[in-house]
Parts: sequence; C-alpha cells; structure tokens
Amino acid sequence: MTRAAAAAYGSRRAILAAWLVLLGVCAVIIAHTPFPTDMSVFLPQRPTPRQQLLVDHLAHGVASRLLLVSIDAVPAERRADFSRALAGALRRDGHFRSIVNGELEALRADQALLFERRYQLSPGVSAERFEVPALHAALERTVAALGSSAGLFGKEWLLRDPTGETLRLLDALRADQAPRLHDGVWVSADGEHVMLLLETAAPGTDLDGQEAALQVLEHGFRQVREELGVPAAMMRVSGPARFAVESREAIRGDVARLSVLGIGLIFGLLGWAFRSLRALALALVPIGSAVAVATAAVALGFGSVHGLTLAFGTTLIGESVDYALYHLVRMASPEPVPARAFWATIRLGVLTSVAGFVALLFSGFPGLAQLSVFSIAGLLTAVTVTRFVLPVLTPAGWHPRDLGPLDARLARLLSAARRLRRPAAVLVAVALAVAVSRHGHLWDDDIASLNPVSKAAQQLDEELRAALGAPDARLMVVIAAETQATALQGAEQVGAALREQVRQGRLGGFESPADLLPPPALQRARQAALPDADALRRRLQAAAQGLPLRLASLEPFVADVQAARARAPLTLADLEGTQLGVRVRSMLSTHGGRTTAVIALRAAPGVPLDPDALARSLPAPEGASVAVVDLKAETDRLYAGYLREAVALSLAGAAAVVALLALALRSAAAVLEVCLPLAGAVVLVVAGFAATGHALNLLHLVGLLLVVAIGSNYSLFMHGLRRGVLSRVPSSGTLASLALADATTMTGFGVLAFSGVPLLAALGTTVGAGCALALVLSALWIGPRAGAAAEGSRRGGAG
Amino acid sequence: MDSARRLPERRLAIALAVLALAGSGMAGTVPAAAAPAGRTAPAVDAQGQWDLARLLREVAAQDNRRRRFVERRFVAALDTPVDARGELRFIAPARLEKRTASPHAEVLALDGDQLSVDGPAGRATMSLRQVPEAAALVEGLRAILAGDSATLERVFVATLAGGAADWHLRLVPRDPRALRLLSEIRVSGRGGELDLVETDQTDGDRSVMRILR
Repeated sequence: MTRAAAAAYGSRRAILAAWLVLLGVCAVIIAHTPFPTDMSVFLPQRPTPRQQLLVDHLAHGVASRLLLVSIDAVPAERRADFSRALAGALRRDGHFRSIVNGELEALRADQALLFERRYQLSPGVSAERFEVPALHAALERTVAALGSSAGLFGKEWLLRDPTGETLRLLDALRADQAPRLHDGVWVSADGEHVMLLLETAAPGTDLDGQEAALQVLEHGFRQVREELGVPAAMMRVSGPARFAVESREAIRGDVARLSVLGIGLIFGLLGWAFRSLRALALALVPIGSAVAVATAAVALGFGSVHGLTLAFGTTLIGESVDYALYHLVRMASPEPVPARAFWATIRLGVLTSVAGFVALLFSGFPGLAQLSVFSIAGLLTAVTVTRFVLPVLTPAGWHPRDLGPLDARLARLLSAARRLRRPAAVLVAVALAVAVSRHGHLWDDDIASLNPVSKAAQQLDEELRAALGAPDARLMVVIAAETQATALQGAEQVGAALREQVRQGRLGGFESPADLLPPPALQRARQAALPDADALRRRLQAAAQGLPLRLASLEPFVADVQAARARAPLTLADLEGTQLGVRVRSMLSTHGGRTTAVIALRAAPGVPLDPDALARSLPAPEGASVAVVDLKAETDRLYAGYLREAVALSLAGAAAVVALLALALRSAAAVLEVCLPLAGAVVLVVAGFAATGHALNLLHLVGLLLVVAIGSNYSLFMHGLRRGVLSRVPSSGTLASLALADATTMTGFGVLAFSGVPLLAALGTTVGAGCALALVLSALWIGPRAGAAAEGSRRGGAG
Repeated sequence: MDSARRLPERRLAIALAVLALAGSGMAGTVPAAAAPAGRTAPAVDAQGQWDLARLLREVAAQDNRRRRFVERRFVAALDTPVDARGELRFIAPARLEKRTASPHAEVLALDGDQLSVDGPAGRATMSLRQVPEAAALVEGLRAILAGDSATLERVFVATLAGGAADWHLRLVPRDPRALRLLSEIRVSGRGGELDLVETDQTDGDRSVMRILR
C-alpha cells in the first residue's frame, strides 16, 4: 500500500467511524424520546397569561377525562336495564373514577355527604336562622311534615334537619339542565337514547390509560348487549379521550402507512431508473441518516417528538434522497459535471431550502417549529452524508447505470413542450386573476380547519353534550390563584357580583365552583353562626311553645349542630367518589402550583354578553387574578395570531431565499429568472385551491413557503443548465436527475395528501403539486434552449 | 333527578308504596248490584272455602274506585296523634292516589312505577326501579290487585284469619331492608271490601286508617 493510499484508507475509516458513532448517539437519544400525539402541538409555545389559563384548564382539568356516551337502538323497555347493567359492569372495573347514568345508586355517596356537611355547605345557614323566630317557623313546618303520610317515614331525617338545610342545598346544587329520566336512568330529550357520563381514572395526558378505559367500555357494552339480547344496540362515544386516542391511532397509522408507501414509491422510481439494488442501498444511506439525526435533533430541542412531525418525516425521505440521486447520476455519467460546480449548486440549493425552514423555526406554533428543526437537521445531514460518506461506501470502480438515454428522452420532451411556454404564461396570468379576484375568500380563518377531529365527530360531540346538559362553556370567568382556598374565595366574590347581574337580568345564569364547594372562610363563617348546644336547647324550647312537639326528639338535631361546629372545612379531597366532586373538579383545576377556578356563564335570552363590560363590573379579589374569557374568540385570536405570524415568517423565508439567490447569482436578471417559475407555481396552486372551493389554512401557507424553498433547487439547476454552469455537455444526466428528484419530492409530500390528518393532507397537497409545477415551469421558461436540447438528444442517442 | 334527591329516597319510596297501595289498592268494592252475574255475594264460594286466593279474587274483581278515609297517625316525636282525612282513588289501570285534605293537603301517587309525593314533607318524583326493596313491596301489593297470591306471598309472610264476612290479613315483609322500616301491615274487611288498614313501623310509630263508605 502506498502512503497516499494508506492515508486515504485512514480517512475513509475515520469518516465511517464518525458516521457510525453519530448514528449510535441518535439511536440512544431516540430510544429515550417520548412520541406524544396529543393536542400539545396546537397549543401556543409562548402563551399569554390568559392563554395559559386556558391551556391549564384544557390540558389538566377534568374536562379531559370526560366521556359522553349514547346507547342507541335499544327497545324502550330494555333501556333502563341496559344503562344499569353497563354502569354496573364499569363500576366493578377500576378504569373509571365516576359513572353517572341518573341512577340514585350513584347518588348515595352525595346524599350522605350533603346531609352530613349541610351546615357548612348550605347557603341558608346564618345566625338569624338559629334565632327563636326562625326556629319557630321551622318547627311548625316540621310538625306538619311529621304528621303527613310521607313524613311518617321520613321523620328521622326531618327531626335531624328541621331548618331544611339539605333541601335548600339540593335546590342550590341542582344542575341547570340535567338529562331526562326514564325508568330512573338518563335518556336523551326525545327519550330514544340512553345517556351516560363517565370520568376516566387516567388523566387526559395518559393516553394509554384512556385507551384502556375506552376498550373496557367497548367490551362492557358488547357484553351487556349480548346478555340482554339486543343485538341492534349501538354505542356512540365522544369526549377528549376519544378524540385523543383516535387521532393517535390516525397519526400512528399514517406514520406507518405513509412511510411504507413513500419509501415504496420512491424506491420504485429509483429502481426503475437505475435497475440496481446497490444504487437503492446507497440511496438509503442518506435517507436513514437524515431521519435519525432529524428525530434526535427535535428530541434534543423539544424534549419529545410529536407524532405529526414523524409523519412529516416521509417528506424528508423524498427530499434527502435527492442528493443521493444527484450523486449517483453524476457518478453514472461518462462526462460528469465538475465536482466544484456540482457541489456549489447543491450547496446553494440546500441553503435556500434551509432558509425557508429557518423562518418557521421562530413560529410560536410548536408544530411548525418542530417541523422546521426536523427538516433543517435532516437536509443538512442528508447532504453531508451524501458528500462524505456515500463516496466511501461506493465500491471502487462501480458505476450506476448511465441515465443519459433518459436525459435525452426528457430533452426531446422538453423541446416539444417549449411550445407551451406562452400558454403556460397565460395560464399563470389567468390563475393570478382568479386568486386576486377571490382574495377575500382565500383564507379559512377558523381554527377548526386545524382540528384533527373530523367534522362528524365534532357534531356528535355537540349532540351528546347538549343531550347530557353539559354547559356551553363558551364564555367564562377564570380565576387563578396560588391556593385552592384563594381561588374559591375569588370565585365566591365574583359569584356575588354575577348574582347581582343575574338579578338585573343582564346575565342568564352561571355555575361557580364556590357554590358547590364554598371557600373555607365562608364555611367557617357558617359554622361560627351555629349556636352551642345549651343555647340551641334554650331557643328550641322557646320556639316550640304552642307546638305539639316533644323537645327530646330534637336532640339528634342539637347533636348534629354541635358536631358541625367543630368540623374542619370541606375540601375537594372530601368530595372523592361523589358526583358533586366530578362537577367541582370540572370547574377547578390545580396545575403547576396554581389553582384555576372556572365560572361558566350563560347569557340571558336576547341579551348579548359583552365580555369587556362584564370584566369591568367584577371585583378584584385579593391574591387572585380574574379574567373574562370568550373561548371561541380566544381560540380564534390564537389562530389569527398563528396565521399572522406564519404570513410574516413565510414572507421572511421567501425573502431569505431570494437574498441567497442574489448573493450566489450576483445578477438581478438571473434572480428574476430563477424566481419567476417559483412565483408561477405558487400562483397556480393558490388559484387551484380557490377554484376548487378549498379555503387555505395555515398549513397551506407553510406549504407555499416550502414550494419556494424546495422548488428553488429545481429552478437553480435549470438555470445552471441553461447557462452552461453545470455542464458544457447536456447529456450529463442533470435533466434526468432533476426530474427524478422532483418526482421523489413530489411523492414524499404527495403521499401526505392521503393522510387522514387534515394538517398533513393540506401540507402534502400544496407542496406536492407546487414542486411539480415549479419544475415544469422552470423547464419551460428557463430550461435549456431547444438547440442545446436537440444536441443533447443526439448525443444521448449516440451514447 | 334532583327532585328525587329531595328526600331520603329509599324510605320515601317504601312509604309511598305502602301507603298508596295499602290504602287505595284494596279500598272499597263495586256495589254488589253492579257486580256481574255469578259473582253475587262476596261470601263463601261453592266449596265454602275462604282463603287468600279467594280473598284476592274478590279484591281483584274491583274496577275504578274512590273512597274517603280517616286516619290517625301516632308519631313519637309529637305529643298528640295526628288526625287526617281525605280520599283514596284507583284509576284503572295503574294509577293509585292517596289525597289527604286535612290537616295539610298532600297527594301521594303511584302511576305505573313512578312514585310521587307533594305535601308538607316536600315534593318528589322517583322511579320504583331505583329502589329495589320498595319495588318488591309494590309488586307484592300490586299482586293483591292482580289476584296473584304467589307474588304476594313471595314479598310478604301473609296470614289470613277469620271468614269471608270478617277477615283479617296480616302482612309481614320478607325483605330485611324493608323490615327495618316497616314491621307489619294489618288489613281487615268483608268480602272484597276493606274496612281498616293498620301500618306499624319498626320504631313504634303507626297509623290506623279507616275506610268509609
């Protein structure tokens, strides 16, 4: 071995070793990376305080555990049995924290608790209530009740609670709209469907636990259906858990399906072009390295890799294979493009692509930021591995099949197609006119367009929510504080102000957690209003004057009042296992050392709610922040913010691409030449969506940026071909490699168009179509001239 | 469903079941003249046997009926007994009512399996199916109307004494949960007609209801 050969051998070994170490490190990182598929990717990265309240509530509140269930097509006489049997089966299982179907069985814990804690919870407890006049009135009512038919059997209860606090309490706690009862179980308003409300034991963030709960529910339903012999029965389930589990399934399915499909199609293309397994194996090297490094980079940057980012990985396959492709074509060519010129063009192409993605790096929308890191890391890895590792792995003396003939065929096609230059320009002009004329309707400014939950599923959710009387939580007052007690205290004060609004008819009603679970201070105030045993006995004696009541029989009342005076305040923990607890938890959530209390508001009929005016009328409780939140307006604002930001970033990205081109080409005319096909592609895609009635959303916009970033590679190559920078000889295979590269990119994005996740589909359609158009327009407008193409075809034919 | 929470539902349901049915279910009879031929005197049948089955057949032969009642309720917590009066109604096929007029207006009703009360003790409606032990009592008492002695005896230990002209039926619940509240019901009457319904609670309180004609 000569010294030079030995040195080359040594550096080859060093390159291989470095590459393998890199892959190993990536493997270790990826092995420790969680791959969530939840909604976190849609939530703002740098939320405003008000958005933070929302995020806390949505992500950690009980709302994320609720499942709404409707059982359909059960004969009327079996409905109650079905509901009871299903609820019974679920109660025996541990996956649900509460199962509510209207059965009194489920209320037993509530009744015991409300009765026991009535003097802390009842809004009627005051000092006057235990003075002689009020007690006399209470005892009169008690005597009447004791003598009635029903009282004969309820007397123990009447004697322990002569002031009727439990009744008052139950009145105060009555939900605005509980579902209708049929045979003692909840049914829909039309009586046709059996309704249940479930709370999973697993929190909203534990998707595995929620999935298990859903399976238990499905299994229980099938079993009951079998036992009761109603094979026609059907179950519909809605709720965040269902959505989350389903979108995870959809995303998982997409990642697997689209990756296999993308790789299959891309390798089919390469196989058809090169007819060589070795070429395929070599192409796999940059692809695999790019995906590994990209995934590890996102994991390092974000702590986790969202499933959507991974699904987006198929596009990286299509892009990263481009560099391998250029490399293979160049190797195959008998008259290869000079290395310097070749890599200079590639470098510029990579830089323009990266410039587009860098813009997205600054997005507050975590989904876009992840996608950006993923693509940048992937592209840089792909090109580096192609440049340094691929030559090392390519056996000496091996050449892939020459694509010259393909090149020649493409040149002929191009030559024939040049007649379409003007028609294409006209088409773009028409498209521009269409896009401009519809510019008011181009954008879909509803955040629902980003929602991975299907329209049908959203409708089902609305239907079940209405049937179960779940409050329409569009407008709410959010109170945040350091402790639960302070938050409840704040809710209590706000509630007092809201009650006044209701009294004046400016507000329809509200549901406050402080009404269900009074703040400790209020509970203590009520306890302090209770007289001691001796005082109470004296007052009862005076109050019972003239009534046929035996005072001794009121001793249980005296004992209960005594016991109530010494009780510790009731807390959320005491409500475990009760329906009351479920309701309070749905309005009160503690996360990260802060407690958020949510008061849902209901407008008075015909009186629109003005959040700002309402906010001004509310007090500012000590130690708590109060905000009036219009959920719809807030999410709309959030989305509008994303969209505005995306527009700015896309323009910045496009500007960066143009600046890079200007820097490299050093000619305004050349920059214009390179950019025109890209602009044409963007206009055609936008007009295409407009003409087919598709409103564009944020992901379409991002897709357009990628069309510019990726498409610039093709127009650059075309431009280079025409100027003779890349090859003095057109048969270098450049045209074929461009066509193949575009085809693989289009495939990578194109398969996303078949995704069940709207986000991915929007991106896939835009970039897939846009890149194809960018190549075609580049070829038509700035491709090699007819004479050169013809010469190329002759040469190709001879070669 | 909240209205159902207004009273301790289990006890109330049992109370309603007992009171609505013990009274109105067996109250009164159609006048003998209106009875179909072949079912003349509510007396000893051809075999001369007066037993539970025969009694139930007599009671079951009744249609819609309406009778006034006076009732005296003995409640330990009150110094004096409560005297109540009102009306019992049975509206075919399934509605039973006990309407108390004084001392305080109160309506107890059983309609199908829906029990309701509206009076000084509060207002509530509930389904019998929610309260299995009350449902059993109702089934048992309904069995009287239906002439179904098998069901009656499944729910109660039923002891019949006396003859057709002066019978005494003693009903003791079999369900231990029902027994914790209600120790027994005694009904006496003549033929298919009831005269007296006495309800004894386990804690010693009781009511004596006389059915007027």
